Amino acid sequence: MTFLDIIKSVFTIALVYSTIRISISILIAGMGEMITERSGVLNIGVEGVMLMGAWAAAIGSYFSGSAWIGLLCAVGVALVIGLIFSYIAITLKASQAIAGLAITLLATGLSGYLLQIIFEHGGNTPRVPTLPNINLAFLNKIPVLGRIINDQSVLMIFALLLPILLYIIFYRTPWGTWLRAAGENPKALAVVGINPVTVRYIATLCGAMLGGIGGAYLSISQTSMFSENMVAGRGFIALAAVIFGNVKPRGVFAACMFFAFMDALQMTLQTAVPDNIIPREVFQALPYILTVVILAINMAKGGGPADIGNPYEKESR
Amino acid sequence: MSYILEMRGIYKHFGEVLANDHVDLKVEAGTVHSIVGENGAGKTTLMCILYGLYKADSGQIFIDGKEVDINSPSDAIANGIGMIHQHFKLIPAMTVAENVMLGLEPRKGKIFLDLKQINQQTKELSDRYGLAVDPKALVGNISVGIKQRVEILKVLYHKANIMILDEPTALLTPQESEDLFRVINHLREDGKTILFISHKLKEIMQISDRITVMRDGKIVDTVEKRDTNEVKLARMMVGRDVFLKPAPAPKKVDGAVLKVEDVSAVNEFHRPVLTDVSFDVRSGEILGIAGIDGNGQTELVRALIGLQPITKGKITLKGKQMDHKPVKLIRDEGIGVVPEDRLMEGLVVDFNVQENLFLGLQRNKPFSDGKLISWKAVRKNADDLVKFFDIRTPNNEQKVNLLSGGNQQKIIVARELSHNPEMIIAAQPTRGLDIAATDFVHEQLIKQRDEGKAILLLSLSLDEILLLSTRIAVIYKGSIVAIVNKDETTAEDLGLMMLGGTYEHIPA
Repeated sequence: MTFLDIIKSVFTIALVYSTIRISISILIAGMGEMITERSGVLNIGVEGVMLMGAWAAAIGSYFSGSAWIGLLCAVGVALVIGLIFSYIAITLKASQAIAGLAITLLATGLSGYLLQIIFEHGGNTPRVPTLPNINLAFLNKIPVLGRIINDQSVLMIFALLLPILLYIIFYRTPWGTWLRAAGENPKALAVVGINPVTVRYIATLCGAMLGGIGGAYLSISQTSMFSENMVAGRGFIALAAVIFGNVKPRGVFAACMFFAFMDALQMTLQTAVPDNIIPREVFQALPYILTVVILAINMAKGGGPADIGNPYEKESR
Repeated sequence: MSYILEMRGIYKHFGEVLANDHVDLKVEAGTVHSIVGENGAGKTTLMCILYGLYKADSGQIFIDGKEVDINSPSDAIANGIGMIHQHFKLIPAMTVAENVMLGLEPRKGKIFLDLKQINQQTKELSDRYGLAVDPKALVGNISVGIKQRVEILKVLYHKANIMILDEPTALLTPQESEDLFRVINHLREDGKTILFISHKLKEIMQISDRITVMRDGKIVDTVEKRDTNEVKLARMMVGRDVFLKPAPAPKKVDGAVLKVEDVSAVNEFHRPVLTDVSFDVRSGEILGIAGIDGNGQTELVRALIGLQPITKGKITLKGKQMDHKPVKLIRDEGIGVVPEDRLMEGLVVDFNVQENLFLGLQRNKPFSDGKLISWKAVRKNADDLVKFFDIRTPNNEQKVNLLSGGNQQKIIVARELSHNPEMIIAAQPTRGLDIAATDFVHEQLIKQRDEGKAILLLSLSLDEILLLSTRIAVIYKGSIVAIVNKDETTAEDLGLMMLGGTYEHIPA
């Protein structure tokens, strides 16, 4: 096998297809975290929110027989977790880093434990109904597009529209202005009569909700079951993408796609390159190594919300 | 006479501090009404209550004779009250127009921002009041004076009739202040009522129609401007006669304590910042260093305490070599420093009072036996110093960032004098302090002088240099251009030397 053969077998339409397929969960969760961070709240518990979303979606789907009900369950559970996090981080003004970490630890333990209780065995759920995939006959007539879009989850449409929608909300609506203001200088917002606490609550709940949907995609669309710890670091990748993308819609979108591409690439490389030439572990580690390198380069740039991570104190000078 | 605003029996306390004690205030429409008082007198608290930022424990507010309930800034805005805050409430990452419209953005349909209107309306308001502000400029890129105009625009956009300006000149240059006063006069002619908060008496007498004096959370009196003057106001503010008077002549001046010989230094870009600086400071005298900001004062202080490497020359303290020695050793040999930047170099603002009162002395007796800190000694030290220097704090475990500037400065002065140094360096020791705190610092410096200490005073205020100094050295472009006896010079002579001996135009 020549080098050229390997290149040819790697860069195919299938690579584009899997890039998009992989991007959906981190894109939805990443966009959610971007909303939260823009309002000045750092929720590093995305991983946990996604995990509970994936869990609730599978359970809801299994017992109701409808994946859509499963999706609703994921939204509901994510909102409850978002509310707990908001109360701790915004109202009680506890450390947001600790609260986020606690959410992730709680979700890891709780989802596994509840799995054990409900099904009397750990590991994973039985097969559950899944969300429909896109299957439009006319797309098959278009050569490349059909092979990329058909057979993707319906959530793909949502995931790809989300950055555009959020761009419009951020920069073309008053609510978006208030959201950005809450993350830059909440006192400036308070003095014009808008309560930054309300804005931060709404933003954190929106973020959690999208985190839950991002997780649900994994259990009721990309696969058809929940298995323990199935989010496997995607929440942290989403978190990294938000920082890498400067907490702005276009940047975060690009960053999510980049991370998804790297993941798709490493999976393709694993099968394309024989194990005795380069061990597969090298490729598996690739996205994580790149994440560290890129974040290290990017850190100096700035451009994120000025007041991120700080609780809003009303009567302080 | 009808009043546009009346506050009755306003009462508010923060923890153990009583900020407003049954305050009554009446304000006539279309006037500039000043509220003056020392730092911590309760002026800002009263205004924050009026603007709905703080909730009064009790009291009533009347607008145009009708009682109103103000629980939040939106209530205040709805009642025609606007506030220009001392610390601007602006968002640097947004444009001028976005900041002005924040919270009340013009909309296209119900959902979308009307970006065109946002810029246009800001431009119109700015033109109408002659504010000359570019609506599309990013707030992070504009000067302090312009930022304040953005705050004024914001309040005008909210259609405020009563405008509160909280210490508006605190961060402005004299030129910017003059511009502000022109804007205020324009607003008054337009029928707005201005509440002007300040402790600078000169500008109060320049801009006000009526003046209310506050002290310790209470109203002392409200007077017409024509019936009062700066001296009367100062007496009401402080509660006793204050006139910052020249220091009496020193009792006994002895030999040199600190000797600086031909010291030169360069900055990080290898440009000279000090060139052949020579002077000595003698026991029992105050040597004042006069100069315009940025002529080497900061570097001089840093060189003396070992923070700025010197390229040439000698520094000796009582004959001992001090140059090229570590800071800790220099301090232990007997140099106390009141640094120019109190928050950055003088205090750890997140530490409490007692921790700040022994900062830098952690390894010294009695605070430490070389291994462990004796908190008993730390507490006793704090108790003694708080009492002796009258530091106003609820308790010694209070974080210092919640204390007033005057009390923060007292902590630094107390700590630096507590280890009884032979040589005291005081850089800008009264910057931002009110009358009483300034008076206190001056008294302490004179007392130390009379105990035979050598004192080096650096100040940008020529008045302060003339009040305290025995001799005066003038620094210009990193060199000492003259050293004169206080009695043999005038402010005009010094001013000329500070400009390098020529009438250069100094841009504002």
